[in-house]
Amino acid sequence: MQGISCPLNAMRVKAAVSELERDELLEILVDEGEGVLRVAQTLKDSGHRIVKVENRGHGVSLIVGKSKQS
Amino acid sequence: MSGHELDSAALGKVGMMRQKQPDMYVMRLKAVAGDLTADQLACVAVVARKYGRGFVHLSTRQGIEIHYVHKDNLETARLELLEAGIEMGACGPRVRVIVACPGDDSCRWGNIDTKKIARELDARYFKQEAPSKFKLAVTGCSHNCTKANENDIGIRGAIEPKWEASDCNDCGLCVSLCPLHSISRVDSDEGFSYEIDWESCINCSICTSLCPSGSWAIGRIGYTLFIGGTMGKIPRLASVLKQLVETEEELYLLIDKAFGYYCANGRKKERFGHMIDRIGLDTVKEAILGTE
Ligand code: SF4
Ligand code: SF4
Ligand code: SF4
Repeated sequence: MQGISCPLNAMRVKAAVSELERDELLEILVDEGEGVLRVAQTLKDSGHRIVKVENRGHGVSLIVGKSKQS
Repeated sequence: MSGHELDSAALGKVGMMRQKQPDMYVMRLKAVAGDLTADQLACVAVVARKYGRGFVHLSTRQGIEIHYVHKDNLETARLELLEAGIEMGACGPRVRVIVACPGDDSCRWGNIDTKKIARELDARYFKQEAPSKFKLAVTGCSHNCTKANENDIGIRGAIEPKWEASDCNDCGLCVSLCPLHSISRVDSDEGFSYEIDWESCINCSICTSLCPSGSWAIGRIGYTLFIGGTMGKIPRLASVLKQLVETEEELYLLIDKAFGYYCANGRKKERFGHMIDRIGLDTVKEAILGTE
């Protein structure tokens, strides 16, 4: 696992994911509810991958990667 | 009843409401689903300047009101508005203007064509007499922007999700996304699956919209039909009449029956929801759904 782990808003997530190399993964920690919804929406719109999502009690961890095509 | 009272009841029928100032009236305009064209708005501006005091008031139900119109100008103003295709709204004990959110026309969450349904309901029910005021609202999904459950009849776009194993990459996103925590991962001998607790699911379409691999498909789509909601002096949130109505025909049939039942059983000035509480929800539901 490469990358950073901190709460980011959707736009920063998008920017960060698009800077990843093809096979790199990024773990992001977001707030439950609206937080994870926004990020999931942005990732879906920009076609990126969500590999694993886990509820950590104090937030939700998402492991994401670049879309396979790009 | 005095002449004046008669007068204001008749005016209420055509959306004119007496103000506390003598001879001054509010003109309540009709905008089905809250939509007006730019040209119509321009006409409203002209009329508000000419016959009102140059301002409009936006009501909580997507309506435009022109205030301070002198009673002698009401008819002239009405005709000018009508020329631009703007009709009057309604006051008093009857069906009010139908409100709706943008629905699937422009909203990513929209499950249904809210505007089409609002227009259909308008054609069928607008201004029909009832024991008390009667409000209908159409909202595209469970985000409930037009507050379906605060209306005498509320229609909410609904989907029933269906999990398809094939593409699911077991990411777990849906478990975190579901606002009601209705989705859980279940392990079995054949592998894993994702399942929904139907008791708590609100048919919202978050899972079907956001699953990255499209594994939450729309199994069934339709309308959740609410009856008996009201705000005002004695608020009461609506009750679900049917969780998933699948066709427009059935929707209108049920609304017909619900409205008919209210007109036959509601006491004067008694709102639909308060009638339901007096008679009992189960009895009312049975009467409406029974002969389906
Ligand atoms: S109720 Fe749903 S479809 Fe309608 S505007 Fe809100 S989010 Fe969009
Ligand atoms: S979000 Fe979609 S892909 Fe991820 S676990 Fe749920 S159904 Fe599977
Ligand atoms: S439709 Fe909404 S409430 Fe039902 S399972 Fe999907 S996300 Fe949860």
